Amino acid sequence: MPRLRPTLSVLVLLPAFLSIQAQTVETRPATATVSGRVLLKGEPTQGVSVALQSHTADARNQDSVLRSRTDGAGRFRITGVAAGQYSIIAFAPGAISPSDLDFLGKTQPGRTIDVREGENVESMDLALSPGGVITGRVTDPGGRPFVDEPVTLFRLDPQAEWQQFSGPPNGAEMFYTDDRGVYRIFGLPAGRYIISAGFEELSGWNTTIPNRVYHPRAFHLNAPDESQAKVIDVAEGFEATNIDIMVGASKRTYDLYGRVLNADTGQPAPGFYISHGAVRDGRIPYTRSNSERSGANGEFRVIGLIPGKYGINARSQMPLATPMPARSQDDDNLICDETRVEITDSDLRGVEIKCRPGGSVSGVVAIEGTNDPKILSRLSQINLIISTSGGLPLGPPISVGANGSFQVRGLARGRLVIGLISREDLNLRLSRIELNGAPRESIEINPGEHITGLRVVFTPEGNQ
Amino acid sequence: MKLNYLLLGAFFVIVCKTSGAQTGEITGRVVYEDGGGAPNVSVTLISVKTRQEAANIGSSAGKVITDEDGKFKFTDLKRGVYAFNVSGSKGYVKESEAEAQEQRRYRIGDNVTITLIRGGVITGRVATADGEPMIGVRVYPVMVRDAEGQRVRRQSGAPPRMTDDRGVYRIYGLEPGTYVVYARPESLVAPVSPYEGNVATYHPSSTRDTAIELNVASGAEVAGVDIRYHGARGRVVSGTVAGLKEPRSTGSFAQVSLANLSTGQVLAVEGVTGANAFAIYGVPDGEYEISARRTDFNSAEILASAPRRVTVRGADVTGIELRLAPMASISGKILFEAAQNTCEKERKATLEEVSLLARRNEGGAVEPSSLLDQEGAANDRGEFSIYNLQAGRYFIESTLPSESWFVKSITANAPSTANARGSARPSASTEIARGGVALKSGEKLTGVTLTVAGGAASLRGKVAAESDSAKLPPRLRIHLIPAEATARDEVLRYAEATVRGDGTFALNNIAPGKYWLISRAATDDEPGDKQPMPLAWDGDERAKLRREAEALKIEVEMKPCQRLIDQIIKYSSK
Repeated sequence: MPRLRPTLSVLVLLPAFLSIQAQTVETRPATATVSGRVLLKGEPTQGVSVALQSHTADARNQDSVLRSRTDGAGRFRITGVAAGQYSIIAFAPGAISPSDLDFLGKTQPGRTIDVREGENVESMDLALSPGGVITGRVTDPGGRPFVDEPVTLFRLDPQAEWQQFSGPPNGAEMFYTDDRGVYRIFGLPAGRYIISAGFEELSGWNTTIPNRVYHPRAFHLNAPDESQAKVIDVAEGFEATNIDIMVGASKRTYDLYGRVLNADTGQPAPGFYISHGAVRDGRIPYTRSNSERSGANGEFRVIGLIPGKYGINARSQMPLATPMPARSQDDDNLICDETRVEITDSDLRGVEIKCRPGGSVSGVVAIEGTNDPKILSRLSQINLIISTSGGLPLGPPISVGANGSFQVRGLARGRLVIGLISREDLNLRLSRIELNGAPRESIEINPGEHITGLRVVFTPEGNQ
Repeated sequence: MKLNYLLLGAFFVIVCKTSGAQTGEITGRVVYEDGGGAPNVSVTLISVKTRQEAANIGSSAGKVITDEDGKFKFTDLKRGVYAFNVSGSKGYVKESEAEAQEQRRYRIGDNVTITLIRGGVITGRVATADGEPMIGVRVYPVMVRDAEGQRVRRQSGAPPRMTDDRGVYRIYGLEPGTYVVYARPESLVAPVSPYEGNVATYHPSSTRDTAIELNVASGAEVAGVDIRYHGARGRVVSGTVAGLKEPRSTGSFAQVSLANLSTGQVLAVEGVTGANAFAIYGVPDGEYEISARRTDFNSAEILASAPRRVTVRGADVTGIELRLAPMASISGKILFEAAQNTCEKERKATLEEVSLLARRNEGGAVEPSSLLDQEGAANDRGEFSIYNLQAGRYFIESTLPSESWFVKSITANAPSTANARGSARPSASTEIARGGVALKSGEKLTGVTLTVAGGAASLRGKVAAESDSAKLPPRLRIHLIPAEATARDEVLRYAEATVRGDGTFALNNIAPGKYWLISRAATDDEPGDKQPMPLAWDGDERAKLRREAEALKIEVEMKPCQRLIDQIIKYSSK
């Protein structure tokens, strides 16, 4: 089955860059010529405007854009061009130029050409094809318009996967419904499309929404998922009308309130980051964490959860992040157990996340296999990332003392995982681990266990 | 005078801090006109004090989304003064502030109802001179008059909309009022603008001066508003900005804005480049005012240049130099006079719940780019500052947290002359309620004292038409004039308010005493987007108002803490 792939939106930073250069006025001899043809469906086309814009001019300065219009033979000719880099674009109503299609991933929009001083750039053929249109109306099950809401369009790619199609970078507005629920997406390349509106609640990724009320996603016409979506075939220049969508009946979101506790002492655990993730097939594929932390009494809340099963957890620190100041040293050592909850039709209160002291590991780091004092001196540059198979590392990487000593706390149960991180490439690799003098393949940490006498040995890269 | 002040000072009590740490909540509901709750509306609460300290960069005390019944709640709020920002939603708009006719400020314990009404629609088609559709260009709405027909200078809250492949645009969610619309040639769906020219074309195919104005009612659709783009090229207005601090801090930015002198419409707001230069393209011929401003996230105060006139007549205007300079400010203290009168069921209020507004009263039109009235809020000790004031004459208005409070006096230290040894003498205070205070450019006025007392009265009522068959004029104001002969120039005892559509009015925070009431039609030329300047601030107007009220002889005596609620007065057109 084809999968849906959302695309990342790409910011076009070009105008910002150009405006900084607004005042650098260069005068070069404008002696080059750019000429060619505009072809619509392969045929030369009259009356199409062609614009040539310098990459070094201020994008807002229309006087810097050189223009021409195609004649009866579809020809255009732009004279008085100074040497430099340009974008060239042909623009005919309703037509799209192939270069528009791969906007995303391109740093310079349009087709880029280099013009040398006095050069005669000929045979610039700019091909256009008629763009397609998909238009329709989005309503809720009560027939009320779905106003100012996005629709999501997917196009079948050559690998038979549904790729999100987002059009030109600044044209996002056409993917929104108006006050009648009507949308109209234009400039579409020929292809097969499916279209949806509403909130995608089954992904497991979107678990909270700012809105208190939402309508579950539907594909044209009212299919709950893409496998039942009606496919829209758009030929060149074709207008697909009445592509209506009826989103699901409105549902509301709920809030979850709870506390983070030290299970050993019964004391609240303040300042913990709260994370949650939707349960899918017994697992939690995605975990979300907002910047909100538990309060002075360990209290926390998660706002705007859509109904479903969740795993809730807390961490004293974000993975690899610098710890926030004014936190209790003891709390840093706490490891929390995931709490499973289900939101059905009301807010959930009294959720408890229980935390217990985690395990710790201490020992020394050594560099072997060389006498080169330059390499040996890299010991102080070593930062370790130590965690276990049971959880992500807490807090920032651990720096190693002058004599190679280190300590890490707050480890979940599981097999020890050691990584090396440094600002520069130290050309060191992990050679072996010893525990109290004996080499070990792996080390298991039991809940709350404190392991001392670890020796982590690095050797220069290339050594055996 | 000085002695008197000091003597009184002994009896002043600053409201103590005990309640300063209290927190509370503000609750509310967003409803449609039919009273049904509006879900999913984003409500932002703004702390006046925080906003002021963050240099007016919309820092908020929080943002919530209304539930399925339109309800919302902000909890754990510190005592202070708050304002709401409710953005229009899904084609609905907030019932205009002009309709509510009050600059709403809220305090903890308040329950708020915000009404949304259906916005209007303007739709049409944009075409080039050749009649081809203009695709992916933006069409902008500009409100020129509000629903009451008063001119406005604020930009409409509805965003511009993009034309589709047929050149069709549809702007919805428009506040009721009168609009002009214009299209700009930059296409959002093309990497290079495909259209000639760079000047906005107004409906039907004109410049701003000859644009056709469109009346848009709530829920109404104005169709066929086509624009034939004329493709003209404008001029460049460019120059430099001096006085930017170096090195530039990351949280600061400088902008230059260009406003049309006759309409007040802001044509462009442009950033200042690394070379301290600016350039505004596509400026049509006309008279403009240009000014620069530098805002810093880390400072409550901004830098601004004096506004400059620019005339564009068929040629670029280059080499404009705008010099940034610190702005004037007013600071001082609010004092609460020991209450001789404590009203029953009085809301427990604190000084940090007082908000202050410095209003520039120049008489005549204010330049389009001038900063608007500046607001300030006091801390728990009553100390306040109002920043970012241009040179000019200012009056201080306040909104008080309790119906039982009234402003008794506003004084400023008279300019002190340092003596030979350089130590400043304690200066005498002068009354500034009557004539306001003139601030020079960059002047930091300190030592302003706003004295608040308890026992205020309030008056609610209704203005009735002259006869059963007559109708009330559309925009009426009600004025309260102190009747005692000695109170002729006690400006703080004058009060005025807008009469609502149903004829009702409310006057609050009135000092006990004898008063006359008079209702008057508002003048046509008052801008609709801000409260008119009280007539009492102008000596001649005050005298005229007083003569008319005296002749009309509608007298009320307001006793301490009195709450008059059914006062009916007949409108007289004379």
